[in-house]
Amino acid sequence: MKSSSREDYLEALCKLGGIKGSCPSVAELAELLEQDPDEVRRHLDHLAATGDIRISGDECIELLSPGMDTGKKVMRKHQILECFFTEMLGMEPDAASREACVLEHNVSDDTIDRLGSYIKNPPCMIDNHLRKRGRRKHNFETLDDFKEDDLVIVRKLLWHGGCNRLMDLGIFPGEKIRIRRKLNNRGVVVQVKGCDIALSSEVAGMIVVEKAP
Amino acid sequence: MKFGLIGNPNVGKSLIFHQLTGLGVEVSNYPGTTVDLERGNVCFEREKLEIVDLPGIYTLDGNSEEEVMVRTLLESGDVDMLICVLDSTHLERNLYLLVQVAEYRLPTLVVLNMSDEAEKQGYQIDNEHLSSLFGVEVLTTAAIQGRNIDRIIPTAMEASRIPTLEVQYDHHIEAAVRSLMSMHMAGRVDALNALQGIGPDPDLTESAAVLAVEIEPRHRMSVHQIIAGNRHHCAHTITEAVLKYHETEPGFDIDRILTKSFPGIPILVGIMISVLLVVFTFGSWLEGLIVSAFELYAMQPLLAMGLPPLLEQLSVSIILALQAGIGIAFPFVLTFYILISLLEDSGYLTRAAFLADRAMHRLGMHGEGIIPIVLGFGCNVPAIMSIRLLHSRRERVIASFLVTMIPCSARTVIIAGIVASFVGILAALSIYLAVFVLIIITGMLLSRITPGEQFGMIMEMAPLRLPTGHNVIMKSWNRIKEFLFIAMPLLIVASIILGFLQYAGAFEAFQNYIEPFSTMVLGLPSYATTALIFGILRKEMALETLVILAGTANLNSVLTGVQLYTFAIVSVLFIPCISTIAVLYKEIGLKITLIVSLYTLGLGIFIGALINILIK
Ligand SMILES: Nc1nc2c(ncn2[C@@H]2O[C@H](COP(=O)(O)OP(=O)(O)OP(=O)(O)O)[C@@H](O)[C@H]2O)c(=O)[nH]1
Ligand SMILES: [Mg+2]
Repeated sequence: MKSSSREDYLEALCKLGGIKGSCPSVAELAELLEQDPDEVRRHLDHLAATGDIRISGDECIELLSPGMDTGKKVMRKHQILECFFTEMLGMEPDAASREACVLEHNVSDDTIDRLGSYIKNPPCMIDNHLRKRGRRKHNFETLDDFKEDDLVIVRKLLWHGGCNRLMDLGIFPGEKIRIRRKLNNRGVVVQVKGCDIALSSEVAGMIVVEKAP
Repeated sequence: MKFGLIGNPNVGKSLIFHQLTGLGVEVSNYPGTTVDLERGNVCFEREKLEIVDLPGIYTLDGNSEEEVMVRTLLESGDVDMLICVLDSTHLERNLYLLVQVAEYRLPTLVVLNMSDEAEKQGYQIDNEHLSSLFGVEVLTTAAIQGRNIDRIIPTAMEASRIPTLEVQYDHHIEAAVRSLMSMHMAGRVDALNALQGIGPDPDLTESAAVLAVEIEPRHRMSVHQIIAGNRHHCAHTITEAVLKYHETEPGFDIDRILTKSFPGIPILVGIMISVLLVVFTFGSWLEGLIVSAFELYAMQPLLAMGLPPLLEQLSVSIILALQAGIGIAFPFVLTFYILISLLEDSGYLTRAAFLADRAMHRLGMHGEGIIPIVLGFGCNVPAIMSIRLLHSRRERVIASFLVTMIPCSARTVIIAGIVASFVGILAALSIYLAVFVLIIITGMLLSRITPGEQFGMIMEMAPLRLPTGHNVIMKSWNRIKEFLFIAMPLLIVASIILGFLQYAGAFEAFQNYIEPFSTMVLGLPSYATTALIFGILRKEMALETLVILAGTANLNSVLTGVQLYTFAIVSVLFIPCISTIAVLYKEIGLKITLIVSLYTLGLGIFIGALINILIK
């Protein structure tokens, strides 16, 4: 059995265990993996032999701890890659998921850790203009592209890990906000839910908005 | 019975706490004034009730220090009842927190504060309706006028109820919460928190993480985002139902002037410089009066009495200590505190933070960093405590360096008392300039080498308001009280000991020892270096010790202008005072405290030596 398909199996089992909260059956696994149940059963026997899982009867596949560890690790890699593709590179979610499925088997733990912390806290100090130029291609405008007194609607927050505070303040996809003040350095004050909130240019550059009709 | 005062930042919790308990806590017009739990007591029908003032928070499921502190307090069951203070002018955003507070199912009283401003702005809130939606009692107050404050405790005791509001979450979230609740016998709040990756129970968070992974891709949002969205929706719907708004005549918006680059930045610089100038000129004038009064009415009569030498020496020490202490406390420190309180209460500091944001980035912080820096001019101790409002450790580390270098009022005393009086006002200002340049260089250096990530600023602007005289006086008095009642006795005792040591000739030995270093490196007589060392106890003691050791308040008769200048600049830079070191240790840990102390020590000696070499 190839190591990549072992990882795929364990990942799928982890996922199923998560949804159902109990141990999944062979039929369910086959459905998720879009494979023939017999082939799945053959692979499962292999996995049972290496001590990753235990099969009790036909209906219950139980993940043992080595299998569980691998499965979770792969799942995390998948998420981080997918998040990077969609949030940072602006790929379509389906394509991102497919790419992640391939890459998750080859990427090293260290790379994933770094990527994960990069997504959480992208370096805000990158020259704004440089980043802007790169982003123009994707054709979306951020808060700091508008001028004073414009009324805009929030579409998306690019700053994956750090935007909780923004959301708590009401800067949330779908919210209408007014730009009250904009400095030359692109720092802005916006009015959200009746409150004035000051944002650095880096933060304003993370908020994708479009002009309100 | 224990009450917790909970609510968004800057809604008036601490003012209400002060009015209920009579304790002098910090009340300022910027978010994040209170950083720690404050406890106080109040008597109601012969029963002692405890009230806890909590730091202001925007949400109960965040990871910032205050949010964790408040959440832990609620979970620990340490408070029996909550008084949730809302700002009536920002109802919707405040309801977002109330919706979360309601989920903790503790008996709650809702206080709609700031009703005076809400009325002026044309907001009208339907209390009955709000009360029926949440299932709790609602009380309208205006803490600044004291309106209805006396009804808070009676109403809470009689009518606070457990909230009944249920937020409708997305069905995936509801399903996940239900399965976590049944799988782990967890409560609803614990399950919701666990889904967002927080909570003390590792098993619960682990199962929740697996479920979260399932939910997130379907919504293309994090669980926190989904939950926040549902809560915002709930808060919005409620606001629509209970809030009426009558268009009012918009007055002139002063922010049109204050937050524009021009004339905002010149105004900012102007305000800072005028604060310093007022402290300098008004302070020196008042100090002159006080010092000469002491000379005339205390020192001369004492010397005329012809007491035995030991007794005379000790009495002189006491009078010198009183003279120096009072001559500092009222003219400089109190004036400064009053000016800073005015700035704090007007809401201007948040404007300053917004304008200074870019410049502060160069120093490795963001705009909010200006608050500790401004407070640092008063006293480094509260300034260091306020660095908690910065979000990352990196910023706190940088701020702790820079704040300890800021010339606090005690150091202003040295600059004013030595350089401005004996050398000249321009020389005094040049010390400020030198210190600022050093601070900027240090900041730029630190922003390069300090590890950690940098966040941008996300800060709520405080509304502009006329400061009330009562609060300004109360706050300045509370701050100066610490000086009068803690520092003054210390000063007198130290002065007596010094006088005694001098009488017994004990300094000779130490001074012989330090002499070579002192004259060679700094070009100062050894007693001046001894005085510098006393400055570590409290900065202004450097000046007092110098006066005592030199045996005259007329310092220019014993030291040259350059020596006085060197003395002042070294003592301004040189090691923070003991109390600053203590709070630094508490706030940021031993390692950074040591590095800060050594850095400033080295810097002080280096600059002193530099002046000595260059001038010689
Ligand atoms: N106009 C008006 N101002 C008020 C009222 N209550 C409080 N204030 C002012 O609001 C500001 C903030 O008050 P604080 O008591 O410090 O607020 P807090 O909720 O403790 O704030 P944090 O400690 O930052 O969470 C102060 O300047 C008060 O004078 C009120 O009812 N009306
Ligand atoms: Mg407070």
